[in-house]
Amino acid sequence: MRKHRRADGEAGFTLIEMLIAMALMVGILAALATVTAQWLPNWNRGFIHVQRTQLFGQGLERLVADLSSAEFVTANGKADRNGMPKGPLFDGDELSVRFVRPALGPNTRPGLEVVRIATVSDDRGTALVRTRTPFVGIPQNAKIRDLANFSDPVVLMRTPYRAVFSYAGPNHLWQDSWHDADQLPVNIRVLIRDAATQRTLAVSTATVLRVNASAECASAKEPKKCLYPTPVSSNLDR
Amino acid sequence: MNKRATNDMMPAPAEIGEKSGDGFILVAVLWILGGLAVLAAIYTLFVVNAATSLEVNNDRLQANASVSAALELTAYYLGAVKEQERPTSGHFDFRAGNSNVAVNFQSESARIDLNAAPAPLLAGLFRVLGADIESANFYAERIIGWRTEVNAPNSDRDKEITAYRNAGLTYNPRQSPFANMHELWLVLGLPPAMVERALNFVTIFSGLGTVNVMDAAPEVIAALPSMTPDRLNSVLDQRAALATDARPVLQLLGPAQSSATATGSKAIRVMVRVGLPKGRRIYAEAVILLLEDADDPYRVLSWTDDFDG
Repeated sequence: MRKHRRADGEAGFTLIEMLIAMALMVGILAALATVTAQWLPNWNRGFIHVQRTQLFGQGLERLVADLSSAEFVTANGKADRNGMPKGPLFDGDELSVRFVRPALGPNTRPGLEVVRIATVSDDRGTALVRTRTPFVGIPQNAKIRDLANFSDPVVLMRTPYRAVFSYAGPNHLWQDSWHDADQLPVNIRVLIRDAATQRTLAVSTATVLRVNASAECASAKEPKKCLYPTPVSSNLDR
Repeated sequence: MNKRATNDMMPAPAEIGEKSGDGFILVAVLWILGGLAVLAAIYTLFVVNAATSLEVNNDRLQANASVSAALELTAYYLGAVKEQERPTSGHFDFRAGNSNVAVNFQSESARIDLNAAPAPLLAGLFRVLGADIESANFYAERIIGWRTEVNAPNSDRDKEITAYRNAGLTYNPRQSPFANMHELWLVLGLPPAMVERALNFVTIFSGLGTVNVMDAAPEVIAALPSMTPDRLNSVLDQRAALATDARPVLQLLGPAQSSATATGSKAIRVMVRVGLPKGRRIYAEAVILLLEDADDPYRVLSWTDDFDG
């Protein structure tokens, strides 16, 4: 009898077996669905976090590449007071930096452009925004920081992160601002702070400006004097 | 179901159907495996993307380092020679890490200096680039107008400024030497196509009103005042034959000799071609200023590469 039953089993399933199997499958699927449902938001959050970090990394990289291609361009007119060579059009402080560089990006006309990278507030908090305007020369006594009409905003990073710039000259000492200097800074440091914790993040970086001499010095009779201007009067001379 | 027939077709062992749940454990395992496979696929895709973008970064770092090395080697090579005996052009190759770097360098005096060249030389260049005599003279005058400082508040100064106003431009001419080659785009009346062509033959770093004919591009030699096609050909032939001796070449120039020289400038243009291990090629062009007895052996005047304009 048992043997016979067994042989029967090979031929097909009984209704009860079928029901048990379906119940089992429902149980397994339900368990799987629960686990997946619990994991999906985490997975999504992780994914978004990684994506944001990457985007942020790209923004930072773009920022650093932008800064390093600043050019030594001067204002119109001849050498300033004391016949000293004119300084570059470069102005920076902790929250913003302005410089001149060859135009980059779509819909730009060839030539030079003035780029402003600054922290601004909008309805979603603060953002580091890159804007630009074509460079068409700056009158002799005007400053690059007085320029207006910047357009084409591009957001480089957003609220949880805040960029703080600092600048170093040939003496490699970091300072908070770079106004009206006779040279371009040698290095620019970008510290990234988490606005919530005020912690400085490890992605903070620094860049070396590529151009470090002016055309004026290249065609000067004594480039050395032009590049290393000695102070007009120093205490040692007296 | 026909028992006999089933037994005939499938003489399977009896164990298969021993527990009805067995097959469903397998199904569950397959589901889990499937889920894991999807996750793994997504992750792989993501990692591949991340790796690709990192590689661009890596390439950039490697290329940057190679270009810097090329500039330093050029400065070292030229700095080891006395200024009078310095070659005005040359090339060398080297290997940095696992990238091949080919370097060509040339003194900036091989180009026409926008700040120092006299009007006839500038007009000559525009004629060579396809402008008619009248336009070429006009372009040259506008360049002179852009770079020349007019101290007295007289009509000359105002004339140039008024011309910009009349053309509807919102800016004035610089009225001091060009601080960047790209300012040529701003000069009144110069067609963009002409500027684009001219940028390959001009500089602002040589400081010489003359052109080094031993290195200059044929277009630049053709731009010299009172140059004829015959003379140009003989100069080019002679130059190829006598790579080291400049005097016969200068004599061949005849009246154009006054705009020609064989000396170099302190500014050197360095063209670098970096071949990365995976076959990617990156080009960079920089102009360095060689310094004597200074804190730095050289300074960088301009730098362009494939990554960033």
